[in-house]
Amino acid sequence: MHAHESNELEQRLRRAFEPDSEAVERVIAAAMRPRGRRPIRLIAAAALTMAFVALVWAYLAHETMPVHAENIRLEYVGTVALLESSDGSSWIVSPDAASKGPDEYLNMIIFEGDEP
Amino acid sequence: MIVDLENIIRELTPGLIRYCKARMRDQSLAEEIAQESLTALVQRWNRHGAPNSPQAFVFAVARRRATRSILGRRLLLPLQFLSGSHDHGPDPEEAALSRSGLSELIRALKRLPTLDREAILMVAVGDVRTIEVARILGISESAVKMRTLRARLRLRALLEDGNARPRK
Repeated sequence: MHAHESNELEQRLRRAFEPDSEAVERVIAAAMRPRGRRPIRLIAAAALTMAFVALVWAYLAHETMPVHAENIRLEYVGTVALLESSDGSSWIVSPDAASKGPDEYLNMIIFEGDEP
Repeated sequence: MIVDLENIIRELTPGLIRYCKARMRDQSLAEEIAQESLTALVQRWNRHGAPNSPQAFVFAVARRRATRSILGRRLLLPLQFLSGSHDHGPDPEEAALSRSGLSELIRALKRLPTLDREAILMVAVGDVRTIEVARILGISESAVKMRTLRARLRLRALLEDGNARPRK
């Protein structure tokens, strides 16, 4: 292909897609228009991060939740420990209880008031 | 620095719009993609300084967005047919192109292999330097020259033989 043929073809291509000057100015003006960073993306990213942090915090808080000792009253009677929660349920813990078989019982008398 | 940026944008815009028009065959879409690509350059410039080659940067963005837009249109086409919103009549843009005698040229361009078409559109229509085209397309400079030459020959043959006419 000769150079002039090549130029002719290129000229034809360029002419075919040549924009008018108004379009050029319009595009330049729009591209140069100052615009801030897109806050929506930042807000969305911040919201997602906060949600993630909250989930992690909730999970860890649940896993490591401390027992509220103030809700349980602990009292020793000899080697027996008496635990009583604020809702009225109670547990008796004794070193002898562990050694008892299914048909064996631990007899205990619990006194209200002064020590026996 | 702002003056430099504006000068560069002024220099790049006509070629960029030509390239986008050739890719999209739609004036408004072409302007939109050109504008988005230049906006990307402005943002890049303001945040991290000038890229190594503003021209390669802008055309790479434009190429990516044009491809994405064309794919999007193709994906939406079946849905438009199903919903009945697709206009079966002649596209106003196509009609305008046909009146101006461009349709033959566009059909000929469509028949070129993708990379050959990209090479000739960037070099001949977009005024992009060969070395930049090589960078954008990820091929060697000599490959760009070879593809451009091949595209010119094929295009010329198609236009001369009238092979660019629509196949019946």
